[in-house]
Amino acid sequence: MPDTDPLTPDPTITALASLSASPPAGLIDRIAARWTRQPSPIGDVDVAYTDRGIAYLRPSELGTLAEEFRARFGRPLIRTEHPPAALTTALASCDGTKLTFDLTGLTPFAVSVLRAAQTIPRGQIHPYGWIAERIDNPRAVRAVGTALGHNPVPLLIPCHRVVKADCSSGQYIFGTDTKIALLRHEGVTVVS
Amino acid sequence: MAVSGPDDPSHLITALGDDLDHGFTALYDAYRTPVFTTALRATGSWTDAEDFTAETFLRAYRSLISDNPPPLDTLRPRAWLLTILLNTVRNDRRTKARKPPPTDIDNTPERPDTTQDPARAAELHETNRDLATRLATLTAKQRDAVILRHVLDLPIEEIAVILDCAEGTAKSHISRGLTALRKQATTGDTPPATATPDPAPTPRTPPQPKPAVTDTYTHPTAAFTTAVTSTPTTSTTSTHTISSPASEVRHA
Repeated sequence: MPDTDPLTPDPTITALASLSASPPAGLIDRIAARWTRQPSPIGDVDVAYTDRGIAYLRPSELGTLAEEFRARFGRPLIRTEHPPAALTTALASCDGTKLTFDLTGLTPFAVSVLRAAQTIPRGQIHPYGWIAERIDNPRAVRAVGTALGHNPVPLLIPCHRVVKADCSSGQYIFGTDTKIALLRHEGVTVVS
Repeated sequence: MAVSGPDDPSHLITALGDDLDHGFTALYDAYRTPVFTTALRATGSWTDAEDFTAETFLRAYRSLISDNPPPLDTLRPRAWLLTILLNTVRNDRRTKARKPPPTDIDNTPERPDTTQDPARAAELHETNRDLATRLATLTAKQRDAVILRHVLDLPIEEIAVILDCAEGTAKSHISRGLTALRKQATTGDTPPATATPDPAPTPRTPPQPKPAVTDTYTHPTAAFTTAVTSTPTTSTTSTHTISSPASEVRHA
């Protein structure tokens, strides 16, 4: 085999050195996610979003967003001071219907539960059984409660508007008192 | 122009230790070009190169947050990332080995450099396309070795680490690869990429899982377009645009 010194410049080597290429600027968004701190009816909340949509929300005072997001998505999380404009509006009204959500990792059942909960407008409540009926799984009332209890984006998908059949509040991911206060803020009175 | 050179990652290692997530974006900025270039020249596809680059950095990050992360004090980020990339590409080829032959690599267009003289850019564009096609005819080991040495300008010692072989073996792969490329240039004979034992793969589905609720997505630099059908009986359709935060994470 003829041994060619790879350090000797020749047309092939010169041409090879010109084959570099840069990735598109947006490629980082397929790797890293963003997070922002925003006001909401329950105080400041930390919200993470990926290139696919809003992914995670937790009260700022808990300080758990980064750890929980990392465990679930396995992606870097970078703070941004320029969140999606619609996020602020959606948080104020607890209406995320104009947002997209990244529900990666949830089961199809959990996603269907959250989709159903997303249809409940401000000022209305429905029992867990209503969600179960809505997703054509009327016997899965307890599973509906579990899925809502693991809602990764509370407030924006308003799981607080789902209550027990006797119109008592039922449980809530951020506590029963917070659920009652949220519903009162929306003009709905329930008992604990 | 080669894209790499001597690698001094000490500031990146320090950044990873101080704040993993911010440090990782600095790592991305430092090595995105060599990783993407290697992915592009190893696969011959811009789409595949984007997918493999994203997957490489995600695998690297998940390794760093795992229960058994690589030790930062001895980590060589560039060699580590390129090893992950080439392993990922190799595994993908094995998966596709049972599938039909790939499309002609000429179908993968070179993206012309618009920053220089148009005539010179066109000439370079054509040269690059021809060379990229010839690269695809090499064996995987020869191609990877040639890319690492002569496109990225990596030292032999680092190439041997990435290819997990002796330095002499790495040199041999480079030499044989160059000999084949020169021979093709002399004869003007460029075998079809499909004749190689490990040709460029066909366009592939991005490895990221599909979102459960996002029905339509355009890149965040353009817009989020949402069509959320919430129930079988009622639907809400809306469109929303958000600004891109991409530029905020540059910490070069």
